[in-house]
Amino acid sequence: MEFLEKLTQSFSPSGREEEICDIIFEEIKDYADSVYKDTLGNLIVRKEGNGKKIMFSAHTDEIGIMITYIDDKGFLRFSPIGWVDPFYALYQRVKFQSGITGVISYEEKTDAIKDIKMKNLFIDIGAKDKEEAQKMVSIGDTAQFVGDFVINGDRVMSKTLDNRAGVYVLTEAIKKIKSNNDLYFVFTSQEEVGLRGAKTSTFDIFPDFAIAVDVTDTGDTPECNYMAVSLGDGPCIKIKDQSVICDRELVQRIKSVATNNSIPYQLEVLEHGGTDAGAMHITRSGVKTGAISIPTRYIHSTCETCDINDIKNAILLVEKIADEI
Amino acid sequence: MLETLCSLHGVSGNEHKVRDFVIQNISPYTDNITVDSMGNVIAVKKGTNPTGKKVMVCAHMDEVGFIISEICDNGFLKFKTVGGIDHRILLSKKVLVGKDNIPGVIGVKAVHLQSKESRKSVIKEKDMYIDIGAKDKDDAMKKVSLGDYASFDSVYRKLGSTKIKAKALDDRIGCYALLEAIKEEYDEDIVFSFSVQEEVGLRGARVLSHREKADVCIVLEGTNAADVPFSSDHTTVTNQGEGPSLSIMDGASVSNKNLNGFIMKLAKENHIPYQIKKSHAGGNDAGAIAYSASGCETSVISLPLRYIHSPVSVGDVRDIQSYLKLIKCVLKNISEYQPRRKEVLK
Amino acid sequence: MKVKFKNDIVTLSNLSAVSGDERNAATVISEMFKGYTDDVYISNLGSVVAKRKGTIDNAGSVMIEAHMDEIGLMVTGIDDKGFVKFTNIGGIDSRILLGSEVIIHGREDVFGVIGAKPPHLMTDDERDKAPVRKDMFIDTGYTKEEAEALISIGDSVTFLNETAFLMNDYISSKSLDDRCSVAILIDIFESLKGIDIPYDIYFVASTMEETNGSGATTVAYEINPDFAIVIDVTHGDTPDASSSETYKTGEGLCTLCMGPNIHPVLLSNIRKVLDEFEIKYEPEIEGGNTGTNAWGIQVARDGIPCALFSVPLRYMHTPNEVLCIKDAKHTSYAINTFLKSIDKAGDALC
Repeated sequence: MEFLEKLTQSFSPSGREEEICDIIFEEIKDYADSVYKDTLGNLIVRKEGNGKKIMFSAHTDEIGIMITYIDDKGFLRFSPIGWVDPFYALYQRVKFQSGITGVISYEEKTDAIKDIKMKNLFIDIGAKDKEEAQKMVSIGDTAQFVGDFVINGDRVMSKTLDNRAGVYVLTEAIKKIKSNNDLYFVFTSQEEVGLRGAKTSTFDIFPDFAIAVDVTDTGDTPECNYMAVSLGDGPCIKIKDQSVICDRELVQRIKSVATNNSIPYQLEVLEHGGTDAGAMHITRSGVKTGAISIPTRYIHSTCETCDINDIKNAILLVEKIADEI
Repeated sequence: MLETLCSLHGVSGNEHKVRDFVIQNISPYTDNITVDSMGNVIAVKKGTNPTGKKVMVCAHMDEVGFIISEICDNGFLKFKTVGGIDHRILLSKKVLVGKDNIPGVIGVKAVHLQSKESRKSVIKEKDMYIDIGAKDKDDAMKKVSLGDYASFDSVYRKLGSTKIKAKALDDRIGCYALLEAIKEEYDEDIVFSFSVQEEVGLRGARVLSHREKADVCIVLEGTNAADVPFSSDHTTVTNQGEGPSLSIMDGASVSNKNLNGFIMKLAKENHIPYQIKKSHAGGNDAGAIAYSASGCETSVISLPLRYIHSPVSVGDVRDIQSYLKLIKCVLKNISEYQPRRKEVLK
Repeated sequence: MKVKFKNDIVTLSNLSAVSGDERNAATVISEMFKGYTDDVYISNLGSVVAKRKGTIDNAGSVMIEAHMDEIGLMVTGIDDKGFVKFTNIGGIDSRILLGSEVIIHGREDVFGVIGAKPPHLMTDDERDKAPVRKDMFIDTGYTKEEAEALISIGDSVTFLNETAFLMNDYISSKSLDDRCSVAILIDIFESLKGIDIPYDIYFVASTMEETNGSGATTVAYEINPDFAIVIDVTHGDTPDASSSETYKTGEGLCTLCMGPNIHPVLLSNIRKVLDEFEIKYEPEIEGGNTGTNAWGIQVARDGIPCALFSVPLRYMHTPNEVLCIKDAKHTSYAINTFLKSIDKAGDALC
């Protein structure tokens, strides 16, 4: 789990995925036949084979913020990168690539706290005035949210398990896979801002099958909305989300792989949210697409929570799919 | 030339007048001109010393406007908006309808006849109509057909000492910059593209970029300048008089960091003012171009415009000068820029 | 011939093909196309593509498209007492769901009814509010164990509804959106029997229009035709909607769309032919997205010029959609007349 911790704490708001790509490359380079980066900053790892061309993807980017304005007193205004809820952001710490850290607070005059919008929030980096702030940060700089990595028994809590859990699944699977299939593992950029890296990399690779690995919601917390997914009951085989209806035949084949290898799984219908699969299936003349999801609570907060066994089973499932499909 | 460009009517899907003008004005500088199935214009200007990378610049020809959806028995015209228009600005504006530019006004019953309640609410598009003075349906149909487009009727004028006012500055300003830029010589081959249907979803750029598959593209745009009353310093998006803006990121694309850095460095070296756009909202053709086919490095240079998407958009002449200067400067030096196509690590 | 057309509409509308689960319908539709050509295949995303070879090489190609998928529901879980939870696929007004009869397409077809919190347990406020989907469930009468043996998360659910024949050639059925247009594809194929058409025509019954149009856009990318004609439905006249929002039914009319989604030269050539043959249509004006597959097809690959014909349909996206056969037949006639009038596909664009 040490590598998962390293992944969650690395810096990569959408569009700024360089650091995490370096970390992934170092980890898997001995297991790959070739590795390259493309125009949009996707990292593509290939294990060659004579069989089917299968693409696995996991997005490397995370939600965050970008500075849009520095006021006279040295406070920063910002825009969200990806889906950031103002209530999730309030009183959280953010960290820039330089290591400079700030805290998010709000304009106290805002009538009711429920009316808080992004524009009522600001970042305090402890600067005394504009001049000092400008020495620390610039307009256009991006920052990530801060959230420790903690393991409690079988459960792991951290920022950015969305989607470092998925990245971890692929990197671990890459080390283990033995397969005759022609495998592409794409660590995609800019998922949180519109499934963009997956779009161009799928266009290039144009595989026979594509499988996205990402996190999904659960329905196992007090008084939550209905969803038949629980932490610890196994990785999910996606049926549908807002961006895609997975190929029924591929879903069936993934189910068989799981059953034949006694890997527990759950079926996922996610009513809100999308994944790289949404961009992948609609590329060129169409790609048969599926997805494996790690059940995760409190997605897009700084304390996303997963079950370690789900992650381990997802690694096993990817390993077996790569070989047996 | 900018005045003429703004005076032309080219609502999304009906850009032919702008297209004709563009073709006429680029023809002296290149004979490699393509018009594709959607009506995009793609012109390649040969460089004097090309290195082989494919550089594209793009501005959109279309503007927001209206399409006539019904001709009523009493001769009034019902319409639908094309592109994003704030319904609050429509009331009592002048428009020109159809290919013969028939003048009309957008009407709604006199305020005296409206209830107290309805006076407080915004009147919706479906409750408004265009009055061209026709006696009845037959009379109207002599001049107008269903599906005809209409655009704002607004004359290009000076405003104060440094500003201009016109309709459609978004994005005739970009077209204007391209028409000026194509007159110069560059080392690199440059693809000058003029897109259609940006305002209804970046649609022209999507197909033209799929066709061209450029390595680098600079998108020339107009963007919001909310440096007006009721806006705080951090909500102005851009400020007029501070030069063209560069986008780090918006709702549709993330600009390439290296390309942005290259442009900023050039601007600084050549003392051309620029500003960073202070908002992520909105989107432009870069959103289609950056992510078409295998992807393309993009940057967006925008002119700050007040009251964008209205008949009275306002630009600053000083910004326009810097905008032109910056674009030419970037194209002159683009051969020094190395786009990353595929970086092999192992 | 009209009897066959009517029968085709009935047969097709009674197929089950919720978006993403069109395989069974695709098999039936493939067989129907095979009555006219041997060149039929299923695309990567499940659409049926039938090619009618032209008589001359290099005369180009045309794609005529209708979607075969329908709106419906999908199982999201089974609760402890065996009640089935569901989500919608495509746009459905939740208010029509209460009391509907449905078929869950599980290991076998399972009949169910849609229930919700009983009225006598509601407050007055709740009773006045439209019921929302998350407060509803499907009751199959089975226990949890029985239900789980037959039903799985992800199973699609369709409305159970018998086609009804109303007065004056009107019929009521589920999924007339857009199976009536699939019937039109077959009718056009039939009407071109024995006629020399120089260019290739691809008849496409596409998947997933009701969700994201991925079926049609990916096929358009693959075929890359000179132009595409899309057939879909539009809103038919009802007493509670204004004439600006709806189109006449029962008078043998179809609509022809205009706006940025439509290629202007293709449109004007179609209008010329329709006028010449005195084929009537109503213009339908859209200032942007037409909400049909034409929107996606237009920007597939390097751009594909589109035209859009629609059949007026009442009560769209309900289990009881209503249309007049005469209007659908007229749509078919308008399109086949245009197709017969051009020599090369490219001629329609100049």
